[in-house]
Amino acid sequence: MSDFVSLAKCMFKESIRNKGTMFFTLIFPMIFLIIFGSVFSGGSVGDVQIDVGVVCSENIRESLKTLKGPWNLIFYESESDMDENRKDLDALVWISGESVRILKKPRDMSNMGYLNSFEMSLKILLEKKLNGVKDIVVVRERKIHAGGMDIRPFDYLLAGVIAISILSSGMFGVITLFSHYRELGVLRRFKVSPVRKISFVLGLSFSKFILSLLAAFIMIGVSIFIFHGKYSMNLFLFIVTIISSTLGMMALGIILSLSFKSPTAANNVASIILTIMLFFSGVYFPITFLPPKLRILSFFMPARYVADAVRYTLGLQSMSALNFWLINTVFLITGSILLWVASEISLKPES
Amino acid sequence: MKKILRFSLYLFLNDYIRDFSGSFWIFFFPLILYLILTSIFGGIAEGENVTFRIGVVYEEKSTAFEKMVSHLKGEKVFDIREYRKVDEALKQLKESKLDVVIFVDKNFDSSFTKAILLAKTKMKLTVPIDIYYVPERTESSMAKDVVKSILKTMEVEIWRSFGNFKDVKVESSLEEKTKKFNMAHYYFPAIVMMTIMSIGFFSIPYSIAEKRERKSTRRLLVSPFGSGEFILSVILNNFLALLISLTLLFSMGMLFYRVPKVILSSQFILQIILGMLIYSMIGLMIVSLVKRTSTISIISNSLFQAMMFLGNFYFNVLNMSWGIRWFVYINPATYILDKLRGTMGYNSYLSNHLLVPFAWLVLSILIVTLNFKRVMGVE
Amino acid sequence: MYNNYKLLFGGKNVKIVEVKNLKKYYKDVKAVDGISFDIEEGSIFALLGPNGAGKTTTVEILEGLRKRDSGEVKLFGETVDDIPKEMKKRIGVQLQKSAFFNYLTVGETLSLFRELYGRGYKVREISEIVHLVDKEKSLVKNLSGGQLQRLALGVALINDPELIFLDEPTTGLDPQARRMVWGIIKDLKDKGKTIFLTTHYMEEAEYLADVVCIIDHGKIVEMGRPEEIIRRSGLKTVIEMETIEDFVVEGAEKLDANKYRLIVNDPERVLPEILKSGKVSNVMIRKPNLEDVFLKLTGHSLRD
Repeated sequence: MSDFVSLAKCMFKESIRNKGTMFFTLIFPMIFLIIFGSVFSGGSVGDVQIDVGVVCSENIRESLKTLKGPWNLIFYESESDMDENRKDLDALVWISGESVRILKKPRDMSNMGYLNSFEMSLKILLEKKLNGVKDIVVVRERKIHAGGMDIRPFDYLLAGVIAISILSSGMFGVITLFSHYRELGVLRRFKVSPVRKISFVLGLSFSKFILSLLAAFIMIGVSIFIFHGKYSMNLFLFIVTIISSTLGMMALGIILSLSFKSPTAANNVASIILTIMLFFSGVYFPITFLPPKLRILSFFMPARYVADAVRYTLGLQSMSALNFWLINTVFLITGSILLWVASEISLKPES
Repeated sequence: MKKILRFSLYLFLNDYIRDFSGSFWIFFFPLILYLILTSIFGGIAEGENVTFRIGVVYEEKSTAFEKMVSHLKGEKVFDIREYRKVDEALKQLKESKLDVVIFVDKNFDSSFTKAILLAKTKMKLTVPIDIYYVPERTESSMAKDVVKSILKTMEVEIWRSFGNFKDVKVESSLEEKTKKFNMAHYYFPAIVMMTIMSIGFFSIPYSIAEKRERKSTRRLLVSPFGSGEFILSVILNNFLALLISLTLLFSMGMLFYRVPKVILSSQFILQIILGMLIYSMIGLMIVSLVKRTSTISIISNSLFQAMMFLGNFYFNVLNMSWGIRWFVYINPATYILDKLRGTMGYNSYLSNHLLVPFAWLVLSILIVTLNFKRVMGVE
Repeated sequence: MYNNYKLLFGGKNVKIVEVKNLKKYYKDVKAVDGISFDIEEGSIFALLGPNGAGKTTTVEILEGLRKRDSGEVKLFGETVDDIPKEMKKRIGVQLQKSAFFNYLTVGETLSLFRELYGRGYKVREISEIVHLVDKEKSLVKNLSGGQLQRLALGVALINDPELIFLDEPTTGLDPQARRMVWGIIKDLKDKGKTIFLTTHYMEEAEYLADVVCIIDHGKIVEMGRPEEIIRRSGLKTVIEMETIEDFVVEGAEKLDANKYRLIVNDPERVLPEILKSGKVSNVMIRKPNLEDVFLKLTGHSLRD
């Protein structure tokens, strides 16, 4: 036990005194959080603003003001007035009697969908007005919060940022341990000492768990105090998730360290994996937005499951208990087995 | 000059040909990233890739509602699943297995019929359809909006079916630029900028710092090949790397994605050269101010990510809060990229494209000049 | 079992290390080609040879870092394939290249290994032995090469081992630091420790070792006390000289541009002839040393 404790203490000091390690574990994920938080913290749909210029008669104006959506209607007296300001508009609308002309020119192409939606809503409104018909169907929007709390897309995104941070620190941390230190010759001295294999590997890895937890809590703190996030955290399950997912991500790092002798090569491959996970695990944008053939990739991305589990523990998403424990168990078992393999290989004599 | 060129070639051999990571990140990673971005986002603007999972709940068989749902089933973008109990569907919604749930109660048919009959009178009766969605999930909010619009359209169809219904003729058109919009083309200059920034933030400073740590730069200082020649060789070496990288990228873009030939225009190329000059000097500035490789790594990574995500590369950042938006406006990448996109015919968001980039260039040159000896490792 | 062995065979002549016909081959290279030797308790055994002779391979097999291809190794009277944990606690090791965690201090590094071995000196005691007291709070990454070597030595001694393996302990050290390390090694011997050291410095082997084992291309070429080895070589006198105008001395080994070494058994005949030529200067006559023996036995010097 004492060798585990000594190694754990020393490795922790080694990590926190290393500016690079601390930066990439704690500060770097924060940069992403602040960038993405600033872009998405207001919500997504609510904050989209499309400027639509309209030339129409007075009575139609009043009806148009009832159109609900992320568009800002700017009324002009004449076509020439509207034309002068076309640079600042996403669409130009001319309404005259029973005909409508719309010229769509979104300044941001991602708003094209909203413009199409505006066109549809405008047509429906004008047809109803023209024919004097009433609404038969009333569509009632019912908000459901998966975790029971009123949260924003940013809060949802936070889980993805935490997942990527765990992936990054677990995977790269292990490469430093088993590749970089191996190359430097640090691990050799331990081979000739009487340290137990499992104590060696666990002791050296333990600091990763602590740093992952620290990083996760700091990110939650930042999102609460700067971005006014709201979470209903189950602390025990959150800690379990962070530890098991760190272990799971370390498993990836171990596979890379064992597959590539050079730490540079292992790091490069790890960076590629990280990039792929960023795009294909549904952490920054929905999986349903991926092309159908690529969606299947998301099932193989550990970050997807980590993000789901983190959301569940923060009260942001519903999940069956079975699913939650299955995810954590798989990470725990895979990580443990590979750590054991790494300990056998790291401390065995060279042939 | 001959010596400088020869030295550049040796540097190129050392930094890019014999070092796998050097060649991978500058030559091949931009191609991989471009492929990923175009695969994922290529059809998003037109909604090609998107699929919304709709849960439809009938507590009892409803002819009217089934007719409405059949309209939804006809759309490729919807994946419709039917449920008898609303709780089951809501559970799936909460667990992210559905994007929206549409619910009508068991009296829908009778209420609907009554509403239609009364619609022709002065009395008003409406029939509710509930759409459940999870606002914090983008796909759920979007699905809700789309479904809502379609349901309202269906209502109009019902009125139309009664006859004597006047249509409003909508003539919808796209501006030329919008018609020509292609996500693969739109991202192309972003990948070019990312490559330039990678060289500026990583290749140049890491290469010099590594040689400085090994004391190779000091060895050069005591030789007739001076520091000025060394810096020039470093810049030339990296321009060569950029040339190779862009040749690969341009080939991929033009062959597979039909990126327009305007990227070969002198205006486009000059912008790239300007961008490369600016980022080369920024890289030299970093290595002149910072001694340790680990600290360079921290600064380079932070600036690279910040300038990339806050440079309008992948999503619009010009409408963010001023707490962060100021960075967008002092970021040289924002201007260079905007100009590159403008050259390709896309909307330009900014007016003056030269002031900020040149300010960075002048500042970097000044700092490198003042700290010149530190670049070479002279204390 | 070791204690019974000691009782049976007595104190000083107890063999702590026994190696029989040790072999280690790497593809075409015979790194260690059938060597055998024993090391008595309380003695300093030096494995002397040039770079690539097989010294580090040999010592790393004994330390348990590498697997042997064939042969037998006994430590403390027990045949070992993998060194058991309990035995490792009695062994101290300084590897050829020392590397520790850069962001731990000297004190913390010593303390860590003390904990891993579960026995031995206090950190301050070891710092004093290896003269690193004033560096106890310094981070490893800020140590000079010599200080790092001394830290590695300290880590080798922290568990108060009975058997110590030192792989080129003074390579890269300045003469003063080297002498300091020699002093430490001598003190260890006085305390009854058994020391196995590898070196390519002839002076080091001559100064420290009770038994020198000269190795070249994986084979032992000579073994014994330094003076015995020299006596057995039959070498009597070494003449070193500088020549002028490209003058070549027949049979002499070229040390430098115009510096030569000639090993002779009849200096009274050879010397006058060399001096008669008038083309030599700075002539020095001395007794042969291990390097001269190595040159005679192998045809090349230790520093080749």
